[in-house]
Amino acid sequence: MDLAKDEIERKIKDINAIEFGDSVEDVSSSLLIVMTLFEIDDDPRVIKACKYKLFEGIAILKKLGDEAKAKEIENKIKE
Amino acid sequence: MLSHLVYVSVRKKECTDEEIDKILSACKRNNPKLDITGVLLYSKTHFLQYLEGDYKEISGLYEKIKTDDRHKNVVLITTGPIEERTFPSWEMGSKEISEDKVEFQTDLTEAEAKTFQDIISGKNQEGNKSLHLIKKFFK
Repeated sequence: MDLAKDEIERKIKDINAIEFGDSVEDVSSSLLIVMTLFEIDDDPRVIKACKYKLFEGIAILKKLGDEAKAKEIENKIKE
Repeated sequence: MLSHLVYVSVRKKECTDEEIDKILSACKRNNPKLDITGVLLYSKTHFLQYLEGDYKEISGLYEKIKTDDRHKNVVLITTGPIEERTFPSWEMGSKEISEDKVEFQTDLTEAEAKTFQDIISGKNQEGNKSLHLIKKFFK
């Protein structure tokens, strides 16, 4: 078994499966998890999956009216 | 192959402290049979679990944990081989995290307690990468 490949595939699968919910609190809690992996992982495929999911969460936050939180996460992605 | 696995997840509102006690009881009952050790950290909104044991055993346990409805959005942070266990005497320790103070409710050796305390306080900068994220995640 290729453990490294297996690890990457599992991370991407987990990230893609995230459902943010419909409250600012729920979305923020899940975004923290995605941001954690985004910041510590060094595989480009994992980072890409995280980035895609982060923008999905940011869009929901904006719809829920939390522009400040959305902007904060957007800025972290750009850093 | 001795390995470790770290995941994080969102604690559901329905998951009370009593439910966490049940989780820990199940860990203490089942993990010794699988030769799995580790630590479960939790806040009001998140879980972070560090598992160590045979790769197949901890991978199988992880897939089972993912189906537990006391949490959601379970994400694998890291997994891979390790040379030795970090918490060899800990069938599943636990701690509700606060930044400033860590008090252990479980039996562990002085060396393990010091390792953990150093990680939480940020003093241990040479150890395992996955353990360092414990502090980062709960900050």
